[in-house]
Amino acid sequence: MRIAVAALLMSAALGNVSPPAADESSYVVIVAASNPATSIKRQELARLFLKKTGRWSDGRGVAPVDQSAGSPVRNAFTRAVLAVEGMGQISAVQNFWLQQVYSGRSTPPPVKATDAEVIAFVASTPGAVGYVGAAPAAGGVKVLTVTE
Amino acid sequence: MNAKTWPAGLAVAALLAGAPAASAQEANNFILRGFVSQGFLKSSANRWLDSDTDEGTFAFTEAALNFTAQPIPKVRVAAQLFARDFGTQGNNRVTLDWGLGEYRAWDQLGFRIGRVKFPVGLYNTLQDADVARPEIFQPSGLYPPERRDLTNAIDGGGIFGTLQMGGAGYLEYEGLYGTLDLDDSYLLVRATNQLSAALVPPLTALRFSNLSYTVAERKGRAKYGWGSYVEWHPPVSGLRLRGGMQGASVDFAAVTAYSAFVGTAPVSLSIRSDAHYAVPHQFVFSGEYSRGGLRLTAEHSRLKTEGKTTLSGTPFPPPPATVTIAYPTSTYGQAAYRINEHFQASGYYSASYADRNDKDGKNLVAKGQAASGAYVKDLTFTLRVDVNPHWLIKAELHDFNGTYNLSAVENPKPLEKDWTLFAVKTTFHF
Repeated sequence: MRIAVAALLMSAALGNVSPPAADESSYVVIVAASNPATSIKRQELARLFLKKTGRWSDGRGVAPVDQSAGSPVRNAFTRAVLAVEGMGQISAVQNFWLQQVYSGRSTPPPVKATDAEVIAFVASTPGAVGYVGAAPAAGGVKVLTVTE
Repeated sequence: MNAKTWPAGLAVAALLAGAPAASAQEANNFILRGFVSQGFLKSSANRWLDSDTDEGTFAFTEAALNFTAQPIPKVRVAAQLFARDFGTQGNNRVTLDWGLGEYRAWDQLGFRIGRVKFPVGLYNTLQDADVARPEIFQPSGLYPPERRDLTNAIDGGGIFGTLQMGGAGYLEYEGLYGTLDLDDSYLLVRATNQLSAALVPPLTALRFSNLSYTVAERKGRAKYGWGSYVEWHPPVSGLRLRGGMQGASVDFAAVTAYSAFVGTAPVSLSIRSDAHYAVPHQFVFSGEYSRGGLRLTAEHSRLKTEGKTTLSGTPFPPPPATVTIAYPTSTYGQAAYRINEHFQASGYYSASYADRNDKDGKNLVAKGQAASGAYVKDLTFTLRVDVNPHWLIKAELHDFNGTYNLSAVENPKPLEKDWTLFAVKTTFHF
């Protein structure tokens, strides 16, 4: 009991005593306009972002791009997509990449700070896939429908 | 406390404190990461890993610099420099922890060459990655810290890949073969010290008095080591199951100089010991389930070991070099729960046996040794606090029953069967 109270006090001191609030933001997955894909299964998308799969179905290499760890859109994407691989929390995903990096097995996707940067990256990088908070009006990218 | 531990640890900490605030340096497919750790250990009894844990020690420092570069899409190069100080080990000497080149031709097949982390169980590749795991010390049966120099990484090459299985999920696999120089390893020091100490009773029986010795020369090498696994990710969110198999063949050689008196006449002897140690096969079965902040893990290991020692230069007819065979086994279960972004609590129970055919130590008792040397059971609790994205603190308590993980040679006092170990460690990382 004392330990639990001490943990709560420490947590309060660190500024986060309650679990993260339910995230109400949404996400859309985008690829370059030239990408022939129009939809992708949720599990396949998770494997692309965890680099379990490195190729699109037509054989081209995949280049996933993430958003900042504190962004609502990354939280929404993680809970909705990466949860199918048991990583429904950003901390779990970050730990997965730490394990990959420090064991020399793989490297995380690059991180962009804004939707605009993600759109620019996806539009200019062959095989790129990213996620943004709202469907972009233009910019050389298109929305990929996520299916079950 | 090792006098040089604090200055070295603080020096690296100061260097890291001056690093840019970004969590990693990413530019042009180049990533640089690093960490520095300082810990404290205190055991209720027994010296563990030739460290003064019974008195309390700060000689528990780690630092690493890690880089990854991907110059072209299918090619990746990565390496980690690592320094540690743990009791008599490491002394903050910088070593190449691992370093590799990787070519991933297809998802199904890739190649790695260099000094590659050894794939034993689910977490062996995290031995030097404190920041990436919940506990300070991994379950010692599967990840024995006294064998870290042998099991961490190996110089060689291997293959790896991912195989999609449609509705059945997917498989990941890896195979690795190589060799390793062990001249600077704690494993060599520990083994050759035990070989030298084992000759004290027969020499004393020859009426040698005031006997002392020093190990004048040591050589160690893994002639080969190999590891492999297949990991199945079934269509169940967060579940993975792994079966692994590995083996190794290791040679140790030591020349020990003994000094003594026979009556009043001084005598000196130089005795050479050649030891061959082999693991023809080790099987590891693993399961992990993650959901939300919870991670449950269970792993089981069983192996066969063969040992043979040849002596030369003894003042008595050397004993025949017979092969000693044992079947060590180990099992643990672990639960880790991330309470929020700052706190993670975890615990595990691990049971390890020197020989699965002698779990209660009756054979040791018959040889005049304590039964508790046949096993070690470890109940451990850890609290990890991520103070901020670059600083974490862990506190850990081990409740041990048994002394299988201890060396009598490193413990001048009789070993105590029931003992505890408290560890606290803080890590700065970027």
